[in-house]
Amino acid sequence: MSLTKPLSPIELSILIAIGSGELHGYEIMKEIALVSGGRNKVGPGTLYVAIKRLLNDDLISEAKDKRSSRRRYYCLTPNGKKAVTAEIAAYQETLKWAASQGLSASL
Amino acid sequence: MKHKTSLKIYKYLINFYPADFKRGYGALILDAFEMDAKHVKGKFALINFWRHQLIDLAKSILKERQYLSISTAAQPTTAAFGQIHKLLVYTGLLITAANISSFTLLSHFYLSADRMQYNGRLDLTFRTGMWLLIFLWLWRNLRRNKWFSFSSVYSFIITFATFQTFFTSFIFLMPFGWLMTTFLFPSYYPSTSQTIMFEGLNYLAQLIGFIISAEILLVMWVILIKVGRAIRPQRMRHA
Repeated sequence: MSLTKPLSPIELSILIAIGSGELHGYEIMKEIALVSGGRNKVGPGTLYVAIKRLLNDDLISEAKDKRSSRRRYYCLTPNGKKAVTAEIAAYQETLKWAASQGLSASL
Repeated sequence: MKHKTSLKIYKYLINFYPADFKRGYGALILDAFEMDAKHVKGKFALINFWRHQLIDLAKSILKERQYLSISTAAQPTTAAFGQIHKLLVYTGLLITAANISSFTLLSHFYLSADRMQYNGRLDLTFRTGMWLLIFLWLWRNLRRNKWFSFSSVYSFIITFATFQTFFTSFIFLMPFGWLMTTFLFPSYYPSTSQTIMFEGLNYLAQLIGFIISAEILLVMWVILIKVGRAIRPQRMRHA
């Protein structure tokens, strides 16, 4: 698997949102807003630009059985699972480094 | 404002996305927007909602257009597609080059004989620079393989504008003028009424020439778009 560009925060959020199951566009938007307590709102345009790129990079795929003319459901591909795991591992390393510098979220 | 009105406005705004993206995701974006808009209650919430939506639209349209320009920069072209557009762009380049030489550089030689026409020379210097810049810009786009860019549209218009001038002047006005001066107004000193009639007919001839050429331009434009769409290769899916 080779990504054309590193994952953006929105793309990572989408991957995490559909990690638990198949969701359509609006459900992904709501999930991201809910988890961040309404701080990170993703608009429909930004969402589908990101979804297009994730589809192109084979990180997500359309769930064929749930497809309708109005809505498409998306799920993680094996490549997507690897990418999100690698990204989370990188974040964990960064958090460890921050903690070693005496920095944490409680500051 | 009811959410149906918001939906109509948003439906219009998504036309600013690239055509391929709109075809693939337009309906899905609209569906997500509709679901979101349904839950907006109150004027202030609506203003805030639209502020968020407009920023989101502007950002995503720019991002998608930027992505498209990168992914299609080295787009492979089919033989027929390449040949038609190569012909158009090269014709445009040739005509632009002819414009540079005939309208400006040659005029400079002419004007150097009359030093009183200083303002005219300044104007021509500006025009030379402008044509030169357009020429270089066309050449740059051609080198980047941008057949459907503004440069090919520009070349097309310049090409047919020149055809139009040719058509009006040489095919229509010159025989018309010859006909007028030889048969209708043979006198070297025509009367006022004859002059008015001659000028009136002259303008009428120019108008007819322009209308015919504009129609030819329009028909050619439609043909180009249809042919271009029919033979246009698929966009590259991966950057």
